[in-house]
Amino acid sequence: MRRTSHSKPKKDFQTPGIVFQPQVAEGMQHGFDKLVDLIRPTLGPLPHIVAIEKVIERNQLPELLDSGGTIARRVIQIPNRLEDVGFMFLRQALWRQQEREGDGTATTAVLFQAVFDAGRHYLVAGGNAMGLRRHLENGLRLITTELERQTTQLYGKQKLTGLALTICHDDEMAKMMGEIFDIIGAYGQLDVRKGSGRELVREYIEGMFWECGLYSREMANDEHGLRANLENAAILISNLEIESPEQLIPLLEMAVKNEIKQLLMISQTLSDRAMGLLLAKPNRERIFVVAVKIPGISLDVQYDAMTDLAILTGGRALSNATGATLENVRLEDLGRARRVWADKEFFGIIGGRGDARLIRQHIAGLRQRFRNVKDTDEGKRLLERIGKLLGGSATLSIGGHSPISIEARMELAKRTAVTMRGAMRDGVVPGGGIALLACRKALHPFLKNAKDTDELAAYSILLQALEVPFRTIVSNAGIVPGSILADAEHRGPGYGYDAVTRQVVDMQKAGLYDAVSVVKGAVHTAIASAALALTTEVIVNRRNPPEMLNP
Amino acid sequence: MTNKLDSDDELLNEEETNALIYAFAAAPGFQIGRAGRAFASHKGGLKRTEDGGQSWQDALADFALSEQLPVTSLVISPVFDHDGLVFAGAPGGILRSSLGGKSWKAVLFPPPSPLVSALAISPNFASDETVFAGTMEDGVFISKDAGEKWASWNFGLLDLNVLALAISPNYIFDETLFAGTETGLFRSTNGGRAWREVELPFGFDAVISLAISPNYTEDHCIYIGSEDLGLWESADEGEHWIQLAKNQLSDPVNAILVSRNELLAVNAVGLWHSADGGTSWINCLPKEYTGFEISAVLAPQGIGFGATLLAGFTNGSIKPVMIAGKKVYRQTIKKRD
Repeated sequence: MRRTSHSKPKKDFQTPGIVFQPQVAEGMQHGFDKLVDLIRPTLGPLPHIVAIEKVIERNQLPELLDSGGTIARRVIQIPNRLEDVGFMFLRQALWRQQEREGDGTATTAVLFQAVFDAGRHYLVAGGNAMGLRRHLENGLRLITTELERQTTQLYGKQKLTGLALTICHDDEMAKMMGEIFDIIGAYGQLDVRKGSGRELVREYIEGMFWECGLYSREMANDEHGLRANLENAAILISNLEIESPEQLIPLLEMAVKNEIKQLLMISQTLSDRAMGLLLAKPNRERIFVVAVKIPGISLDVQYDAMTDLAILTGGRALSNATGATLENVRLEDLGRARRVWADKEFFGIIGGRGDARLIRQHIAGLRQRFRNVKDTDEGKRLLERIGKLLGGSATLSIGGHSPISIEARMELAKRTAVTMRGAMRDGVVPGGGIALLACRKALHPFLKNAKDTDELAAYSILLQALEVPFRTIVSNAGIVPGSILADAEHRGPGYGYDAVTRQVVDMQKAGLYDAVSVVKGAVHTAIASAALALTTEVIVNRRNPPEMLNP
Repeated sequence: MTNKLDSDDELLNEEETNALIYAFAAAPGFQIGRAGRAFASHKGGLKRTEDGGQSWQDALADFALSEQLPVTSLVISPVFDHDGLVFAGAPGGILRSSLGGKSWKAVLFPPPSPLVSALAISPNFASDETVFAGTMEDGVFISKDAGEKWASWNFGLLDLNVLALAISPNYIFDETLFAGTETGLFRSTNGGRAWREVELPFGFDAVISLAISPNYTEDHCIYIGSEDLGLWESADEGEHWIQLAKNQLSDPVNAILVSRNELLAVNAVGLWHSADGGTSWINCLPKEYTGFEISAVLAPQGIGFGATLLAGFTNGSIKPVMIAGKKVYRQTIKKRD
């Protein structure tokens, strides 16, 4: 962000007070405009970077960003107090859009501005704010329905690569993402990691793995002494604390009696003395035991991991909370797997012998919960669990020319992944703002039959606002949008502007899509937030409000 | 071991222990009762014929096995005349022959080695050298070097007990194949790199046989034979299903063959033929064979009226059967001089 002056801006955050209209709307609008102006250049496929000066290491290069949500998040306060209220109001909406959908913040911003500006003009002319809000929200429902009608599903590496390209505008990354998501699907597990070279490297891992390694490297049995590999292994699934060797005796006796040769033991703790028993050579020759820690720190996460492991391997979870001990473990309590591996950091299971029907029902249940979950962190945890249970995962290592570019690419890869998951789950609509333009026809009958001025104004505002993302994309390409819009409309439904080739094209044939979840999220956030902002009458300022690091 | 197949019923009645015929594969130009090479895998090994099925020899004689080796699946290279490649699935891995089945090499899968229960070969094998192996417990393995090396690809395959595989005739473009498992059907549209479950109207029954229409690109038809719920058809790549031959095919459907508008389905009591896309069905199994269960069929001349099939029975015998109209004929093979 370019500073207009070298002097430090004066802040007026010391005095508490109450502010009424028209200062409220005026001040907030300036705040909105500042944020939208900051983000608007990033809408569309052509790279428009916003440079943000670093706060701490000022001698370093500024951060170069093209993501509206991230740009908004970097600004934690602006000097004018009323403008700051507007800025932070919109910042929060944009950041939530980014967290939820991974994309669409610039669309949200320009739509919001269009609705708020036009709505404010109507209210200044004597309109009823609550009436306008009600009709705007009705219009929002119509737009959502129309977007769902336009939705199609995307399959295949080529189409998914096209979708990825519209999100990340990075050819190499799009190619990788297209292949990865064609393989792992909407719910598959993808880890984005920092790479060592300059390129992107992807790797696929069969089976499920958890980030918990061996208690002792002496348990490894491969030629390098780094990894333990078990075949046709039995699995004890627990979060028990194993303090003494005596606790293990009943389990080991039962296992040996039932001719179990290899055992994976998952527990909360394992004392050195207990480990010594397992590592003793005579015991190891009778039964080879590999012990790892239960995944997760909190009880909830541990319980989830035990549930998944039990279903996956056909065993039973022995939990501290239910008073389970190792004294009465039965053969049927142990899970089974074709192969188990464990190293210093991870353990994995390939070919768990749980009932395939139960595994699918369990995954279906988790997917249902994921669809209904509101909390982002819980959503991430559910996605991770589903990904594990699907039987494989992908890792994308991000390389680059500098630590800054690697960080930026990692951020971009994560956002792209979120958006692609949404697109694969819920489908796609034609990109480039075309889907929103096509929604106008669903509003025309309501405009025509409007019963009062609030309703008339609401539909007029929405009809104009729905053109704004398209116009902005064309403007950002350096073209006057009016003639392009007329050309696209003349050619018929589905035609839009490809800002890269600078041609009006059939968007679907050109492979230019937007995830419907992103577009719906953007429209919802923009219209609902603008409608709420239009009904804000009074602002109460407190002394020294905190800077908003997080929304 | 040499079996002579002629018109006698004795062989049919003579039950061999562990002799169930699992699968057939024939070289191009194979003519039943006349000439050509074919293989029959069975519970006790692998048979080979060089004379159109008139006589059968033990194809694994060179191995000098101490005990019988069940051979559960078979495929032959589409360009067999050129490369002489045959693949047979067995417990622990693949038997591979590059000499037209005269000698074999065992390719073991990673331990604990699974039973190879199904094989499918790319229609474009001459250039992509791709073969798929379905296994019990370890899912699907793929080889991209004509069966020398194998790797498992099981993303999304939530049941690793594979009973049947079918590959799209247009695989080179659509990379589509299906896997029937103990609890349902899975589809891959990226050459077996990842799988998605195909929802079936009957829940989680085992899918033991599969067939894809030779015209799949246009008609999108696939057929599945379930263990307990008969034969099903989907004309939209698995989105919607209808049951076929509800009255005739309620038993496990052991094999399905499809041509343009004709279908052949094999179950315990018959060899069911439909010449109208599954609307009406006739049992082609001659009355003399009533009471004997067919486990596999080979149709080198197709499945139209008048074509002759080789039928493999659960007791290990192999018999020619002609697809007739209303009247069912049993063919007699005369061994040529």
